[in-house]
Amino acid sequence: MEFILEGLVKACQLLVQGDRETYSAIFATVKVSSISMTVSLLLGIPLGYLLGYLSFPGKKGVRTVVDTMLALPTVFIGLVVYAFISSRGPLGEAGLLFTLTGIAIGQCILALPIVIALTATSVESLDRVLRLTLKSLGASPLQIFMTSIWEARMGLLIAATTATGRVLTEVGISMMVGGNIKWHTRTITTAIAMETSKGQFATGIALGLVLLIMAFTINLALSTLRRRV
Amino acid sequence: MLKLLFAKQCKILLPTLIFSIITILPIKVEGKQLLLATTTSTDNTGLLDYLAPMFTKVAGIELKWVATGTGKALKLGENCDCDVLMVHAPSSEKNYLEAGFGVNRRHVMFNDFVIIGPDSDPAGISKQGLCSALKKIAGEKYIFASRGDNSGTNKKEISLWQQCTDQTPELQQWYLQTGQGMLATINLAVERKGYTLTDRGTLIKFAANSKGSVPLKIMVEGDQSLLNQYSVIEVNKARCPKVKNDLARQFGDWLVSMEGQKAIGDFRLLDKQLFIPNASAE
Amino acid sequence: MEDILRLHKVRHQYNGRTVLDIPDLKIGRGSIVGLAGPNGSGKSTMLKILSLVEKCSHGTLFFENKAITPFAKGARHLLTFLPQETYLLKRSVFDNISYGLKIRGQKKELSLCVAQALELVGLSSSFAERQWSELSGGEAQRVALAARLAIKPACLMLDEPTVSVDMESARNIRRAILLARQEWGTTLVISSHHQSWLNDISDRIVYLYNGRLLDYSYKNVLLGPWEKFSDELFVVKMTDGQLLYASKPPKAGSSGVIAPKDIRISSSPSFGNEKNISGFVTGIFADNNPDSLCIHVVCGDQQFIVNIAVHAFQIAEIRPNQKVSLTYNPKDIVWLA
Repeated sequence: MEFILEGLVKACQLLVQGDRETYSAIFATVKVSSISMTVSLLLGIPLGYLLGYLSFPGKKGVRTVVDTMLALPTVFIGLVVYAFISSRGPLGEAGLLFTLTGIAIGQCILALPIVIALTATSVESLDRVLRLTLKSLGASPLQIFMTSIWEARMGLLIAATTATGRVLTEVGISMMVGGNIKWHTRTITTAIAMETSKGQFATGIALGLVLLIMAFTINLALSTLRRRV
Repeated sequence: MLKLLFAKQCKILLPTLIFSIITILPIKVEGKQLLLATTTSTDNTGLLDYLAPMFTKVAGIELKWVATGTGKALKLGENCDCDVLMVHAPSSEKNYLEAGFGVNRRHVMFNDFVIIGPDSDPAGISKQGLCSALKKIAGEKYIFASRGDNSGTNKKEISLWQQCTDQTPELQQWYLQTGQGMLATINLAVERKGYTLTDRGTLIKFAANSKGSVPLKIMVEGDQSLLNQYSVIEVNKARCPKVKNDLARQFGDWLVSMEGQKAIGDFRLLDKQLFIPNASAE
Repeated sequence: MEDILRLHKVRHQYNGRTVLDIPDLKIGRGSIVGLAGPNGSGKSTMLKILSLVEKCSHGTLFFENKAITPFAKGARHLLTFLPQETYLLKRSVFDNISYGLKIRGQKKELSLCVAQALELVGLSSSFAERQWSELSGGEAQRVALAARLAIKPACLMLDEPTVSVDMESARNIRRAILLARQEWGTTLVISSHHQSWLNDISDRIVYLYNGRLLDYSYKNVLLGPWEKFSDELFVVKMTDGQLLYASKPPKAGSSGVIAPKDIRISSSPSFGNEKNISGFVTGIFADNNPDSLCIHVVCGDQQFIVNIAVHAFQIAEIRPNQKVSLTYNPKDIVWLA
């Protein structure tokens, strides 16, 4: 019991005193999740839009595949990415194992299906008449895309929030692909896993609280944004 | 025109974009780096945290390390995913060199293994010989926590079971394989009031973590078979053209140098020496 | 009159079913064409094809004698369409009305254009600040119309613009449409169930039935649904409460036509096998035949066109706004399907 309280106190200490190790892990987490979220939003929103907007043969199949990928376990993604970017793997030349870029690749695989599926759903639920209206006002296909995305912004914010939550809290990919290297690829989640395995529960709880604060801040920012737009 | 049309969107997108660029930019600005694959004991005890800045200061090389079991560390070297190894499983290491995965193995230091158990010592193995202690645990089916992760400690433990009882207690109810690091395994032994085999360094670290009040006591120590030898091995550049063998060599040279050896000998936790340098041996 | 739009050999299919089949239809520049016909007759489809929202499966749409398809450069900025269910972007009224201008690259004087468009539809310029969610149904419809008028279209297609709006909105919409034609010579194609409203505003009415054009522009179209009245007679109740009688229709929703020559107009009802209906004279016009006149009579919202010989007209002393009786034989109603 006392290590829970101790964890609370320690969390404040780590944050206030600017503990270098903690801030290194926070920075690594922020950096890697920003990269993976930027990439998966830039790729996922257009793809999700097309999936929700177009009707083509085999659309149902694609939807099923995307929906199934929502449930991909992170350790499985970690394993596959590891196998691909290990020096002996097909992409070994790039030297991505034990780098933040490697983790970001794995996290993109994790986040992309979420972004695509939720974007497609919110585009599908847009009023049919929207497309008609934009076309009737003389919009080009690109303008229709931009405006539809903006009209679906609530759904997209939810997609972004959900995906960010998953990316921020996953540990399987970061551990397997990143290797938990101090000052480099040690993220908050891998640090928690490590501290717990070392029996340092207080530090683990402190880091957990830090992660909680980060997730809370991001959610607060996004929901403020949602109310404003 | 686009800017005008999406002025409102820009207000939100622009800061996001700038933020992303700022965070992505500094990703590839790195100096000389060496990747070491090592065992959990050298990391858990804090030895590497202590040695790395010293080495960087001398050689100008940044040391990064992945801490896993010896088995996984050897595998990383076999896959060319690291430059140098620091491990402690002599028999596996010899096979490893013979297979051509690594070169230039050098002894660095040793500590020793001990068998620890609860204060009450239900199996009554305290101060017994190594083999009679293990036989008693197996015979009376007392809880024994094993790393079960193919690490150096795990390999040593299995060889001890083979040596004393002619078999490994695989699939036994009382034989718990954690698949995790040494500290986690000690932790399990504490929680389940069982016995386990650990290196002395990690035990001292565990004691330091629990502020000196360890609920487990050393039961068996000092046997010749309980010696735990750490070696440094360079990953074979002939197999893995991308490894930084020159840096790996510098690291190994430093570890076995007077300076490196002194540093290892000076590393203390709770005022106890954890590792005994022995580069000159063998 | 010069044609601005022309549908040539247009056939449109949904899932293999032909919903529109128009060999040739020309729409004159600056004219107002009314589109009448029962539900499902292809009115909306025709408007969508005319405004480049939908591509017809076969045939050609000409705009100023050039064949065009959806997203055509130039033409897509000159033709516009107001769907029956209007949709407003989830933004302010200002953003909704200026959207069309922005995608045309206009940057200056947006506020002025928005204020003008709002004024055209009878809304004050303070509406510009409102959010899309703060409008009533009629206001939303008018804002949607203002968004089309703001771009000063060459042709404007309106699908049931007066359905589900209050009287005031309907009047404002009519005024805006007429002003648009007056100001910019906008050509209008308007579909509506509101027959008298449509007759009143249109230069010409085109009837659509099952996707085909009906050459009944001088006949009175009577829309269902019909209810059984007796063994032989079926009725439809008009908006002013009077009953319109007919023989048994093929289906309850069928439409019938009655020729102007089959209706007698007089100042008092007559009885027998024939039925009477009363209404008010809204207009007296010359007919193609020099010996007869064409009289428009409104009963509820149903407009009738009646022929009368010149000499009979003089005897009957028919004046505009006068209450008259129309006498017809239910058997003269011809069923379209």
